[in-house]
Amino acid sequence: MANMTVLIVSQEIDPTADEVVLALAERNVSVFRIDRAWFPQRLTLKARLRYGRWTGSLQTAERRVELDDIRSVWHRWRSSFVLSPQLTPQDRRHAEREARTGFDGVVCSLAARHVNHPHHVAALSKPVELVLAAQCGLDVPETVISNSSDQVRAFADGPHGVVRKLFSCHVVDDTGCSMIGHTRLVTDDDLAELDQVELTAHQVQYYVDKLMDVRVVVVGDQIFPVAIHPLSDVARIDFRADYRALRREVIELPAAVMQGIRRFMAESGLLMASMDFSVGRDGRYYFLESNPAGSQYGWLEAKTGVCITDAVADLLAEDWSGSS
Amino acid sequence: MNDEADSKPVSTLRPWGLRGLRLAPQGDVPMCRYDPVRQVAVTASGELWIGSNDGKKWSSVAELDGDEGRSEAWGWDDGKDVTESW
Repeated sequence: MANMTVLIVSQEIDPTADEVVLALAERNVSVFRIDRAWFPQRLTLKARLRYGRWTGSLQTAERRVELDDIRSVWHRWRSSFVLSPQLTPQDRRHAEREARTGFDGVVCSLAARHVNHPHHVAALSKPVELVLAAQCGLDVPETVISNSSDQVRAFADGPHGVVRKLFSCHVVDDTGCSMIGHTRLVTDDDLAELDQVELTAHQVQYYVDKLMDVRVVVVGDQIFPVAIHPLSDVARIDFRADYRALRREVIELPAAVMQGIRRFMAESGLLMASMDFSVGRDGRYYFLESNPAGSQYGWLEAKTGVCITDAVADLLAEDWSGSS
Repeated sequence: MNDEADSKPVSTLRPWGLRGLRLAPQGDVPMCRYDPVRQVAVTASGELWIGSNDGKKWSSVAELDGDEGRSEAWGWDDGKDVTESW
């Protein structure tokens, strides 16, 4: 008998996950939703290895699911484990490591469809995905990753403007403040401080003088491209810096870009991704990055009506056993 | 020695990529709670949060997407698209 439950791993407050929970209910598919923060205090894992697979259960105060009954896992968001406050810092670190290995390890090795499998996500760092995108036939802006100020200076000296892009744009400063490092054009002031490049790895790219950005949400075999027209100078550099100055519309992608995206998904092992492109004035689609984690799309769905929630629900609900 | 330690200058060395950081937007906490039975967020009166006006706004907020996934810096989508009606 086919397993029937979809396991959703996300935060408690996640409207995008809410929509999928409701869409799965419409399909009469049972859902077991958890927040990783519930483990180990509010979520009990009982797993036993039998015949090469984990059997047992996940259980909260309200519900329980048999591991054998899990058809798909949507790894949407990984909260930090919340451990007993009575643990010493050393024991907390130990407990955290054990939870990561034990809990995550069981969930990741369930015989289920994983959207996306954390191993695939972990393997796809920004430099790796740029290489993969290029290998899949997608255009990628000229890029330098370096801790050499000489190389960055020479790269920035070219005819194009260049942008600095952090690998992780979310930074917490010394005072605990949450800071954002959006993509930004490198200025003369930046170039005067290039010795600081030598402190770590830095990514610099040619700036794409663009007509528009395109966010492509891929869900299984379905591809949802949405053009994002920047309506401010800030948004023109990085649309995430000024969400209120954007116009969105559903578009069709060139066949070659579609083909490149499908190759990228197949090669990466991802089943779902949000991919960002900039369309240059030369008409070419330049791959910027792929974001498998979380795959934000609610803001596109709400503004354009694209049916991404239904596609996600269908992907999770599909009885793939014996076919993949 | 203590005076010397106290007057140790704060390092101004920072990776070049950290130039031009901006404070992450700090928004209001959403007015909802997780319902463990229905497995979705609900309003104080028990209605579906995403069906409420607040939830609709939240559903359409972009958050801080990218490789960082969702951000804890909640923000409201209190403005319409410049050329679209919501």
